[in-house]
Amino acid sequence: MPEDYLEKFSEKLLPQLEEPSSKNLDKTSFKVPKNYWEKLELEVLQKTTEINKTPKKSLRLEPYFLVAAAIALIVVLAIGLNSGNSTEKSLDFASLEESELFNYLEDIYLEEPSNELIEIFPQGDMTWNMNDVTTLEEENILDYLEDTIDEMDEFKFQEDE
Amino acid sequence: MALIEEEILLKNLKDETTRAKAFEVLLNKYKERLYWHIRRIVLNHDDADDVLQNTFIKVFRSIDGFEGKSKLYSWLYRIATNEALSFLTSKSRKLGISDHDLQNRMVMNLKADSYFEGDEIQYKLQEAIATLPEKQKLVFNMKYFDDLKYQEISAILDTSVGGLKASYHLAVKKIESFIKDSL
Repeated sequence: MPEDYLEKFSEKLLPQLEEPSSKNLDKTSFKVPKNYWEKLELEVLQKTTEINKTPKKSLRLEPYFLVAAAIALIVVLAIGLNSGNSTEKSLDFASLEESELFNYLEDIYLEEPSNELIEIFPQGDMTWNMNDVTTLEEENILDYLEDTIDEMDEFKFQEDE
Repeated sequence: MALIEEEILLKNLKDETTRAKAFEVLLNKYKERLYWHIRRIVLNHDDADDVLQNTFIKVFRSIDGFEGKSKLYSWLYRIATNEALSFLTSKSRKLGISDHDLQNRMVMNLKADSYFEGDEIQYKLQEAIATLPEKQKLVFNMKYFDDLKYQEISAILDTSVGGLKASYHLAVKKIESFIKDSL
């Protein structure tokens, strides 16, 4: 046999063992266009290279998206605050009835004076003795009237008007 | 592919520095087998080309998620099968026809397909295969055309070997009956 027969034989045989069987083509009778496999490799590798080049999308929010989100948040907060206030009675004095006001004032004046006031004005001083009035002399009354005359003039009607 | 060789390839695919080169090896190694498997499902070359490219892109994107619990080829085959079936579902929806009607239309188009060189009997065979339920069709294609072992098909389709044998047996019977009736 030729000198390099065995070497050539193994060189010929090994690739055939590694390549897929071509009998599929006989069974199905499908075929592919010319140079399809080379073209396929180029196209797929090009696409995968583009995938590698495309930076991974980070969670970077576009400005308009941030503005829209801010507006939505403000609206939600406004709705939330309004719904919270609506449960409380509005402080509108016009809506208060007179009876409610009088009742409130009576409650204040009927309250017992605070301890601070009691200390400043001991109860003994707060009593009013009718006898004190009878001790006023006529002279005291006239003095009082003189002091108040000027004030009284203010109350005269002006006849010129 | 030998187990050690596959492990090395997988390791290189997961490493960003060697991924591009390893992917080229993967592509070169499996492109034909995957193409024919897809082509037998979709029948048309252009459709097979689209599905095959989508398959490899999906593989490229998902390689980090592949845990190596199954063989690399099983995983590739599974992705290719899912992509082909999804393609057909999408096509039938776009055309507004049933899957069955789409299959019939695809077979009828073979007559005018310049990339189909089969004779009458080859055409009848494709017609018969088109009448099979989806799983039986897949099993028949993988066993008859791809010469895969039942264990390999089981890993791809996640079906028991017994179930696969039954599917294949039924598929053969139906095809024989169809061809006999049409003669």
